Amino acid sequence: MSTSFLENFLITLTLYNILATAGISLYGIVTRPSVTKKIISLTILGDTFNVLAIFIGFRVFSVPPVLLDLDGSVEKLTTFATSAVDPLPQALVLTAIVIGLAVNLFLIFLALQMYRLYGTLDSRRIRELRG
Amino acid sequence: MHSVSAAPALLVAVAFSLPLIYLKVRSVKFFHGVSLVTTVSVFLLTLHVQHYIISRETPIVYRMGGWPPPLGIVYEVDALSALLATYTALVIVFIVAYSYWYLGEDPGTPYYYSLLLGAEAGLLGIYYTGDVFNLFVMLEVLGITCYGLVAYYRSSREAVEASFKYAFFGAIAGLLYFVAAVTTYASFGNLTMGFVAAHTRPLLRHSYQYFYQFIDVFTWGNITGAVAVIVALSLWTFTFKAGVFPNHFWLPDAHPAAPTPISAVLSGLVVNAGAYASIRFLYTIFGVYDPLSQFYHLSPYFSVVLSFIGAASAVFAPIMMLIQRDVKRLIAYSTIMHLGLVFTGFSLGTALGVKASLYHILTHAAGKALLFMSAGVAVEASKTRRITDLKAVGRLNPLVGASVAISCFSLVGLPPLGGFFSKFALYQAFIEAGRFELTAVLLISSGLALLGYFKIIQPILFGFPPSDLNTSKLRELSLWTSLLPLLLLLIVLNPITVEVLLNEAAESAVLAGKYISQAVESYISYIREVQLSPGG
Repeated sequence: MSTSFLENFLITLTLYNILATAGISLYGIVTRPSVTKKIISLTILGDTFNVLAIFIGFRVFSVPPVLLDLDGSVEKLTTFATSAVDPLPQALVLTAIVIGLAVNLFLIFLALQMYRLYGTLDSRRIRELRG
Repeated sequence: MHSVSAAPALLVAVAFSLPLIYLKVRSVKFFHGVSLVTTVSVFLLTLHVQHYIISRETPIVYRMGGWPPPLGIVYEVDALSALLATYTALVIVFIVAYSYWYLGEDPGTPYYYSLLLGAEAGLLGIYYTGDVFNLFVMLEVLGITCYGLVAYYRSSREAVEASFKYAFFGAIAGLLYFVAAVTTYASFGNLTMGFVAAHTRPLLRHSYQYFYQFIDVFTWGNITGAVAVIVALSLWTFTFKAGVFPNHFWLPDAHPAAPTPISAVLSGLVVNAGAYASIRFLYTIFGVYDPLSQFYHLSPYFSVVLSFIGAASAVFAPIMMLIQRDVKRLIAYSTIMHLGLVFTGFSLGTALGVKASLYHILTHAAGKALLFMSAGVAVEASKTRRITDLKAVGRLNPLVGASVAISCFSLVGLPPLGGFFSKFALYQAFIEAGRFELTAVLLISSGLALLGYFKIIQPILFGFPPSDLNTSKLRELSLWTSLLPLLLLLIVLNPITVEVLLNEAAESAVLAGKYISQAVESYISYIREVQLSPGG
């Protein structure tokens, strides 16, 4: 009884956290005039979606998806399959993190170059200067 | 069938080695040569794949690393993806030939080609892939290379700002597609396009009974709601890539700021990836327009939304064309209009509509690449992009004049050229589906766009000629090898030559049966191999 309550509580907490963080970071992307803060909000949004992917493949009170002994007995495989977390979303997140690293680095270099050319990182000023 | 994976792999290998070779080889001409040879060989590889698929009449499945479909990543190539990949590889050959004229001895050339070949790898990857998540990776490969190419002139304020806008919103669009891919996995338990497509067709289940018994376990919750979310999120990304109305805002900044050959790549080829992925998701994977699919009842909603955004961009973009002062910006707005027409074409949900869309993609790609490259000659000669200050290059170089005129006439849709036949096919598709308001949209947008194109034709053909063009023999050759083939392509793209290819491609998009069965057969044949092998 207490286990299932804790399980529900943790899952609900994570889900609402993900939704709230996504909303806050989208708000930051839309309303912050500073390019740096926009990029920070974007990285938070990316991490939120990565947590969502992990969350989809997760089970509370589970074991890591590593099979330690390969003796081929059906019972062991069944308990493993019913208790281990799903490793595939983790592989997806790993790929997404690497891609996010590339995109964020590129954005930061562009922001640096923008600062060199415009002398400011305020998106309103940049829009004025561009004309 | 190793040609399928060889094309993107070759491109990625060459793209990564070019900057390394630049440490030793300082001759820029060498890199022009290597890139031309690479793109020509990639075109031959894609042609080989195309020929193989047309002769076998079934899609082919390539298992990456030998892992069978629901576990491993596969490339699945059908007539639709092979046609677009071959065409992309062909047009890129001419764009690389043009790059010599444009860049000459520019010291940034190796990096330029590194990114350009990377972009081609991304495009071919998008067309060939049979995996929902691999599509995300390839979209990002295409994205990052394109952001880099837009910011090629990194000391230009305009280019850096445009690239930042493109990259920032591109990153958000990529994240939304990531959520769509993860939701697909959560709802269907796998990421292989053919297998997800098999799940959406309940009637096909009788053919592969034992296969479904253990796959059905994964489908949870409200599957219709999940599919609506997946298609909506991924369409957001694809319309962003295609530059269609609500998500077009980056395009008129990014396309003109890039070097001219890159404007041709972005406007002619990169936007097609968005249209292709939309067709693949709507028709093949989720079967929103397939009566066999359990999501067929969603089709009116997607049809209304897609035809609205298509029609809105087809009407709004030519109006914006009329008030532009910058020639490349004008051509970029014309891209929004044509992609809008492509989206209205496949929003109908008929085979004729998909065929007309594909046809329009082909003629638009050739026409837009040719227009950007020939107008780029005028921009270079007059050292400005203001339309009123363009010099009449067409009077000194008849090839450039003919290219500007023919590409504009094809984009408007004048009879002997490819653009006429594709617009006629769209018109027929609208009439057949009973959507008369869309025929009005097509006519209004063509009429308005005609005025816009005359703004380009007038100064380049009838204005004041420049004093001289001072081009070397090699640059002249580069211009001829790039403009003339595209010019001829526009003339020969008529129904007599491409009807068969387009029919095969449209049929493969609308009837997903073969696409699904090939993916499942690939899995079953793997299981048989394992069972028959001595160790298994």
